[in-house]
Amino acid sequence: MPATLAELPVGSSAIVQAMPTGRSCLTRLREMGIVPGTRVSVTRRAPLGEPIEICVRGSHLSMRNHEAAFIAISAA
Amino acid sequence: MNENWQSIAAIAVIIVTVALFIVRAVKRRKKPGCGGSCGCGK
Amino acid sequence: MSAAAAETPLIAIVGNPNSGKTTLFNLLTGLKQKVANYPGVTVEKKIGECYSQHGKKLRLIDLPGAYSLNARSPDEAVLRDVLLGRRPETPRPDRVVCVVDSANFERNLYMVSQVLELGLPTILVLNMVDVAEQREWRIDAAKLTEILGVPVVKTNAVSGQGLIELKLALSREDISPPKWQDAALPEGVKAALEHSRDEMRQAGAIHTRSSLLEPLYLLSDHDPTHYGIADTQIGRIHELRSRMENDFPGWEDALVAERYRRIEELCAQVLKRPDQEIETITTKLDRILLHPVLGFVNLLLVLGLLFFLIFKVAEGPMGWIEAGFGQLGAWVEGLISPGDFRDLIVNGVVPGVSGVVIFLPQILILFFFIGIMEDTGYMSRLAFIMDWAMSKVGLNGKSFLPFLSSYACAIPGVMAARTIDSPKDRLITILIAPLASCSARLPVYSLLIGVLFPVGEVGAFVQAGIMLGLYSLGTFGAFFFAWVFNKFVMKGSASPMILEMPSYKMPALKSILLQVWQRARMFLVRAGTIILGISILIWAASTYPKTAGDDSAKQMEHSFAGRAGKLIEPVIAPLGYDWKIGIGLIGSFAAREVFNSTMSVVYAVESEDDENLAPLRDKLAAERRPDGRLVYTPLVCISLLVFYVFAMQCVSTIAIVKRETGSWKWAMFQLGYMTGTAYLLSLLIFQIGSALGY
Repeated sequence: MPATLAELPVGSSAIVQAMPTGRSCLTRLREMGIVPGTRVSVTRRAPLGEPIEICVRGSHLSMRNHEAAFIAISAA
Repeated sequence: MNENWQSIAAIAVIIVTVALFIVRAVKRRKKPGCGGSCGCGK
Repeated sequence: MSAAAAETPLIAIVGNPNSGKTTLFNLLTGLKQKVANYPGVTVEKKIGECYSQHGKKLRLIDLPGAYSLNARSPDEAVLRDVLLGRRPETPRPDRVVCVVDSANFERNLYMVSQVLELGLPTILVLNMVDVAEQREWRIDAAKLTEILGVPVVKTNAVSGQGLIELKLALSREDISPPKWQDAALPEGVKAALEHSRDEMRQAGAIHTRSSLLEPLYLLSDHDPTHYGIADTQIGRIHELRSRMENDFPGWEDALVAERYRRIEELCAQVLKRPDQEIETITTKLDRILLHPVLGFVNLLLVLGLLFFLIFKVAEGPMGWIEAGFGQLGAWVEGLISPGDFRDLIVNGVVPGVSGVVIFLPQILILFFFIGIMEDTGYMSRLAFIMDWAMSKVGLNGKSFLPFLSSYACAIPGVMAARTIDSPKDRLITILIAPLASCSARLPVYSLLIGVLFPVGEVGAFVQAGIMLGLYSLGTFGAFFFAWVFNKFVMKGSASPMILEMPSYKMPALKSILLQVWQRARMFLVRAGTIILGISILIWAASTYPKTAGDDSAKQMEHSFAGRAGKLIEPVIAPLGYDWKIGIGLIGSFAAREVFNSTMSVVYAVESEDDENLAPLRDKLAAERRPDGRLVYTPLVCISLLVFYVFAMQCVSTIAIVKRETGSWKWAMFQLGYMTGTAYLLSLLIFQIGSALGY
């Protein structure tokens, strides 16, 4: 099982386990619906590996590996 | 006579232009961060 | 403000980006709107008028799109400040219309819940119901009204569905404050906020009547621009913030999680959606448009179409504008007898204004194209595909289109940078945009390449190759400086690239045309005021003081412009230029292509039409210095070409950069770094070339 969202393969989903607190770049991701306990899935990766497109709460977002690597996940 | 009229008109236009540019610059400097019709003085 | 206006209720339209909020605003107000900037920031302020279904006059304000009241950008700060009634020039809205993208209902509820807490009478608009239906998302509006205590209207802003119901809701005067009012604050945090509020009240930083939300947003926002809060208080707010962080680590994040917990509860009651995401037009289209190979092919097609439109299709209208101004000049020429005044109009005002207005067709096409791409949702896909490449120089995918637009003209490019939400990326994009070789450089490139390689000597291929080289040089320079600014000038925290991928939808053409019209009007107003003034001054500089004779070349030498050329000669001599080129350089500061017409005057070349460069080119190629050496040696031509690639020589761009960045500081910085680079590179080329014996 991959440890962070950045490693989650395309097409699979997982549950957000933990995110470091107090980082303002992650606060925005939280506000977009990625909070611990939420189900996320990876829809696709851009051709050159970044960014990734994810689906959370039925909304599609994309972010870079740098941010995704902060988001610890566990099996859905 | 006719050419004279034109010279004066041209110079007048230039003076007005310069004056307007100066007025604009001074006006901007006087009230920082506040547009013309806003009510910040009240 | 008149008394009547004060009585008309002010209704704020708020919502997430891509919720169709502005389309709805345009649909309601039509042409009855005023666009200005909020003082101090470059955020558009749109106020319009409309009538409710019962004929009552209403004022609507379209606030910037935001994901949260916890501001992360100047746009979001404006939304928060207006809703909290903190902006002195904008009264606090009486009512709020909260627009929700139904197909992203759950995520949109985040800001909805924040807005509801403000306690203002609110109408909830579930927009884009058609897209939600495609996804088989069903929202129970009646239940939502029951739970939240606010009127709920379903609309489709593109087709106009639900507009009457919305206008009916706008007529209602009896909208009670929403039921969802308490921010879900843990006791300890609540007590700490109460304490902070008391302290800030005593210090006079906030209203005596302000609710707990005021300190909440003051303490949790990382945006430094708190409008209406004195600078002296900001330090204290920072202290309070670190104390909160100390006493309740991660309190902000806990609040977000708590809010979403309540949203999940609400969604369980009102939202029915399939367990598995079903196939929609969006998923099908994305499989093609974001395909590793087809995605790129499509991107190239789209950009190819854009370039075809702005270079080929725009050619016709640009020709008409040019011809129109030419006729105007000829008409004036016939109307007034020869003299200074006629000369001012015919050789100063008309060509000066026409030289800028001629770009109007390109600007219209560009903004229409951008509008379509944003409205359909393709813009996010473009940013998604381009992000990797742009990230290598520290920018993000959204910088791509503004930069690309700058190859037509930097003015719309700089204006298009408004779509970038990260302030740092936006500033860097604005700073590098004019390095893209705009169409005004093209005539200068053509002229000098012609001098460098006279026709017949080398094939058109070599000429085209040099042209391509100049474009590449500018592009490379832009990426290099983006990297430098990102690395050394604006260190700051790298803002994360978080991009929403909205569902595809049909573009709302009327709304897009309205926005194109607003941009065009702004551009024309500038051409009619500032550009007009500058044209007059430049004419004056090359006309006075006057000489006795009729020789235009002598007159030019004697004029202020000629004297300025001689004055700067010692500075530009190391680059290989004489004072006559100096005059051309000075003239270019109005617009680069002016170089050609200035040189025609300087060398007294009589040319029937501007398109034909041959007489001027031959004259330049034959021009000699007093000691008999050629002026335009290949080395001088290359030095001059490189100067034109890098130098910032466009007053209109400087003015627009000042406007878009909100200060002269960045406009002057840009002027300095670009012209400095141009000077340095041309100096190196000429000096090294000369030393090598070229």
